[in-house]
Amino acid sequence: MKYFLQVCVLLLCLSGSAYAGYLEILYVDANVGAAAGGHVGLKLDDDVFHYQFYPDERFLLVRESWEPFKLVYNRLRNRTIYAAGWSVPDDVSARIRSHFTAALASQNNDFSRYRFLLEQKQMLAGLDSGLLEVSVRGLGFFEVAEKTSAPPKILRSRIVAALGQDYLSEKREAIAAGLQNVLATLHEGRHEAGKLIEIVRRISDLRKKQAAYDILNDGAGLLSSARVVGMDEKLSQQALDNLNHAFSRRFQVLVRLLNSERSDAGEAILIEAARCLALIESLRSKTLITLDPYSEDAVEKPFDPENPEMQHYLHTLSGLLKRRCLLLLDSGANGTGAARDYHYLQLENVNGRLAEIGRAVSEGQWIRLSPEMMMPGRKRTLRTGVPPLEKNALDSALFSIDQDLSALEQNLAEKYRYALIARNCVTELLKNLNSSFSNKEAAEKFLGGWIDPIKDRVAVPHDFFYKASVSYRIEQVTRYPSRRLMQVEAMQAKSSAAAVWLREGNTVSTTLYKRRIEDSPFLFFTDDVGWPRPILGLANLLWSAGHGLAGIVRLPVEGMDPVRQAARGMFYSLPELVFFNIRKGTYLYDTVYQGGHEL
Amino acid sequence: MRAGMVIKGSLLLGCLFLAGSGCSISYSVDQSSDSISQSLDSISASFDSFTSISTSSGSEKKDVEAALQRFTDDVKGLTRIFLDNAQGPDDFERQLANIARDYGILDWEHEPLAFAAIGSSLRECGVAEEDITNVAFLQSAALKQNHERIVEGFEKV
Repeated sequence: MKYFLQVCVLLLCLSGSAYAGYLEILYVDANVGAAAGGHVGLKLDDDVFHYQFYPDERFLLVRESWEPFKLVYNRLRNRTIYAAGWSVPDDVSARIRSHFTAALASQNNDFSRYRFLLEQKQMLAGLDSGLLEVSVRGLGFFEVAEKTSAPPKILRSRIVAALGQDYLSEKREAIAAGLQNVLATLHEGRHEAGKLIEIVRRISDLRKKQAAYDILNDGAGLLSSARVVGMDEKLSQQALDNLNHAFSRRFQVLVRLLNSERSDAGEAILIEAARCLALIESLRSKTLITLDPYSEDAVEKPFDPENPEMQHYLHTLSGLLKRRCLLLLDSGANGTGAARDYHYLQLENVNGRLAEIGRAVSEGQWIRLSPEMMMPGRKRTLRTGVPPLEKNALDSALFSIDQDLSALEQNLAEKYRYALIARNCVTELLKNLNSSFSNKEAAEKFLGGWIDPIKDRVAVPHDFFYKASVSYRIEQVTRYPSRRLMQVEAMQAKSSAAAVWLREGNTVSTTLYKRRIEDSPFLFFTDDVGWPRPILGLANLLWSAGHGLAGIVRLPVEGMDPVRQAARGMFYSLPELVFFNIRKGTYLYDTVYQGGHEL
Repeated sequence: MRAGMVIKGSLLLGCLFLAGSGCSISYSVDQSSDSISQSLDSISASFDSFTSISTSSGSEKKDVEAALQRFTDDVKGLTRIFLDNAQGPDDFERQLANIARDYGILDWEHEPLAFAAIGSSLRECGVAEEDITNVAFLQSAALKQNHERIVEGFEKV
């Protein structure tokens, strides 16, 4: 009994151990295209923090979940990921997370400020012609002309029941009066010098609120293009009950926003009103209808109806999204208001994507993309006549904003620049990790060591991972083989390794890889071979050179592209001659019907 | 071993110079600037994350919990940087509204999590409880109304 109690005490101590956090340094192997020299990240629980280079030359800190990170780097870009991890006390893990999140918040604050200044400049510039143009999020969902449908009437009657018969009209009048008052201030030049932009901002906020109250008061319905239907079938009673529950929450939020004194409430009211209308339509038709979540500037990828791989992939995705949608509908949302809000956002995103695939397949032209969670908010521009302004006041306000913008642009260009050696994914990650601690000694205590990106000359991902592996208190290194290697290893476990290599080791007979122009022409995979690598590399060099010659012959017909790709192929074969591999092949689509997914 | 690593690293660096490649694959829409990567082959990146299916209802709950933890982290991060710069309550509210919107929350004025995160962050940054009322970027009507919730978050840490 005594020993039993001692064991229990020991187990309790262990379970309550201060070492509850787990930190991992990720190294992503090299491959052709972006991040040809490999990549690094820091994993804390499910979050990966890493630095990405964007096409507009900015180099930014990104936080994403482990699965999407793995999908892109490991599954699509076919790179092996190594994770070197060790336990840290809970408060240390929290401190590092807090430090990285603050860096992310600072970055978002900088760009948000930049967008805000740009928006202000655009508004001011329009005033010269006596027009204030305001882009209103959420207004683009409404059909202003059509005011006869039932859902807006239902919504209006619910608002009347909650807030009183005259609430909407009285509020609308109060906003109109407030707007007139501010416009008069502008007209009479009563505003303080240098406060022009604040006045314009107030006009903009009031116009947004006015638009929201107009929509609700006049009973405008949803545009047909604003609604999306992912599944045609009728919903189960449980799903309908859960949608009813979702409506209660959305309506509660709408009423709170209508009561809010927040100056920026107009857009939020429009979005929640549109969501309520979509839910009313869903409950009436017993099918799931949500708002189109894509923004006006969503990326569009051409849809090729003749491409069986794309067709098959989208068909598979469609099945998975439908199952996810039904699961979300059946599980419903419980818990706090925030939990219910996020659950509904998930439902909108899944249904929106499902509908997008359906639309793309039926129209056969293009498909919209967005890897992020989207908040519905289709915009429409409102134009408001404003009194003529004194030219000096306007010029002075514009000059002041231009100066702020110019200073901020310079600051952003310097702060978020990319430099191959001095500011890359290794140096910035290390700087942030090191500065999470008050001093070098504290970092050494919990990390097990100290790596200085400048003094230790660490700039290459592979080199950093090696240094981290020997310097930090690493407990375990986990390897996540690239997609092709994982499949090859699975095949080798079942049959002869030589036979598998003979079939899968080259791009001609492989069943696991489909040649892609983006990967450049090559014959042999060299990422899973040791000493034969230079010989296979030489074969790859000759193969690419052959493609180059053929490209020159076909130059008048096919242009420079094949020659350029052949040159890339030759370039990426060179490291193989000295035992080093970069190129591994990449994939366009994930095999969603394999792995963790079931159909 | 060490010499091998150096050679490998130098080779990689050489390749990087020649290829002129950046550090990573930017598939995601850049929330900071609305600009996007030029990558064309991102159908998988755009759809796959939204297909994850688990038969256990607990996983849906975990998804939501993870998202709300990120929301809390983001608000704490925002509070921390506002303590370090001179921006005012309007900027703070605008940023808070932007963060909340990313998580589907439009009436942040009534979201206890947001205020608990602000309070918690103030404490972590060494603000004394009696000084909370004087924090410059918290001087808006909506934030003053939620002073008690901020203090609760402060005391819970």
